[in-house]
Amino acid sequence: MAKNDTGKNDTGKNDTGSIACVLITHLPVKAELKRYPELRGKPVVITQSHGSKELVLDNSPQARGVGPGMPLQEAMSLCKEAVLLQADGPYYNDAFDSLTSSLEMRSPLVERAGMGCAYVGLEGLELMYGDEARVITSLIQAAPQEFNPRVGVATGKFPAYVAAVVTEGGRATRAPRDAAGFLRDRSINLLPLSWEKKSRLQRFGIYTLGQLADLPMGAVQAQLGVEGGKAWELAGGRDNSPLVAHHSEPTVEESLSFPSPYSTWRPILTALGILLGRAFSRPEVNGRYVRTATLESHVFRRPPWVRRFTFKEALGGKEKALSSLKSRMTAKELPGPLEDLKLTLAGFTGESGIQAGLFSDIRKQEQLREMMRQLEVHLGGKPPIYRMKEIEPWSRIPERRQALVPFDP
Amino acid sequence: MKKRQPASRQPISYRSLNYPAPVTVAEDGEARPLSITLPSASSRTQARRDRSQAQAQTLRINSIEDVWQVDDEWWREKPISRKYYRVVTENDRHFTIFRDQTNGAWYRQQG
Repeated sequence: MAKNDTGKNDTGKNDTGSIACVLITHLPVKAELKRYPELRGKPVVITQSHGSKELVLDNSPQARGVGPGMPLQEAMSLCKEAVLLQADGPYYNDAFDSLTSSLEMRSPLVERAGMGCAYVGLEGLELMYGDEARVITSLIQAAPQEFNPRVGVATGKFPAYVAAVVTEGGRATRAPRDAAGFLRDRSINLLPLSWEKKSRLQRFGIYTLGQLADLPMGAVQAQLGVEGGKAWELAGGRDNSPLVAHHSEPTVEESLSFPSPYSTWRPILTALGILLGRAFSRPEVNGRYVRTATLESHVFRRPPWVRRFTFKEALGGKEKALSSLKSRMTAKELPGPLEDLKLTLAGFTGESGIQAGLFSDIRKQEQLREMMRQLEVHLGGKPPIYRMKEIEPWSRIPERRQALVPFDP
Repeated sequence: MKKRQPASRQPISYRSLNYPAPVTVAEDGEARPLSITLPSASSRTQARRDRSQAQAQTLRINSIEDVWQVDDEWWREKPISRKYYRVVTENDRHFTIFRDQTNGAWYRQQG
């Protein structure tokens, strides 16, 4: 194995069609440590609910003996002093999104392979960066320092992934041309196979990729089906699967934080109306129609709540979107007291041919909007104009009953 | 390469109405209000409040019309525990004040 800090091969030249695997191991824990630096050096265990079971999603190295997928009770018996955190999926997704966006600034061909793992097409980048070493350095720098990414380079995705796995954090490894030889002594656990199929191979006494590659393909396929045939090819260093570029679709986001957690629909729907109003008035939307709305919220002492709603037909205004979301949301129970609300509109379509009413108060709304725009220019910022909204009129705490919300006609 | 970022703006937040305002209240041995000291009308900032302390008006409480207790959010780190008093002062003004039972501070509140 030719290994160095930069991933440059023996000839110093990049192979045509090289692929880099940028791997961030333990992304959830690293993201939490970035958010809560005071947890550094402590045993941290992140848990996630699976039905009635609470399982470990990820853990810091200090939580010895604990591993992903382990039931929480078992993890706690092994590491009593562990700091427990509820998994914050949207936050980890955001962290990974910003990494892929950063990689997309460096290469036009970036594939998201799973949480913390992305493949980057290197073809042609040398011309831009000078040599492969600089390209690799740039890929490592794409992630924040706390994430300590590792990079593997090969001519196929699987050898690149294995090269990244065997590399130390913050460094890179280039797999040699003889991919089969490079993979030979590696564990079959690196294969994209289900846990049952890996266990089955181990029951047959097959522990390394070399042992699997030595078997006839038909025999492996007969035991493990199509998945087994693919695994056999990967074990032999043959991975011709193309890179599928990730296309990020344009989205519009609006968010709002509540003064205290709300556990009833009324204030949440009020907030949703405000967010929809703001989102549809954005220049990016500009008369276009949307197909999906995603709502995210942090729930007090519970995992974050995320719901994606797809509209039957694309909607082009706050009122219609609110009415569609309202009926679908209130049919469900709230997961707990919501601390904030984030709305993401996506799936933009062109302007629809729906005829707006001729005699409506559209003109009045437009006049109000124009007035607000003039004030904004005059004051050099958002005008301090608010609308009073009933939030929890039944509350025993007076400051919870009404609130001032920004006026957005 | 062209980077496509989700378009987002600064998060907005609700501004609660009738937020409690701190007041100075003299209390008896059973933590019932005896008098209330109102800051002058213009003292909106802390600095102004300090300057105008001399102009502050202290009103003796003539009667307590109503008393009620509000306990809520006991499951949170900062639970709410307030003892509200509807009081009438010497110049026949009506106020709703409460004592925060968690720290003994007094507030005036409308609504």
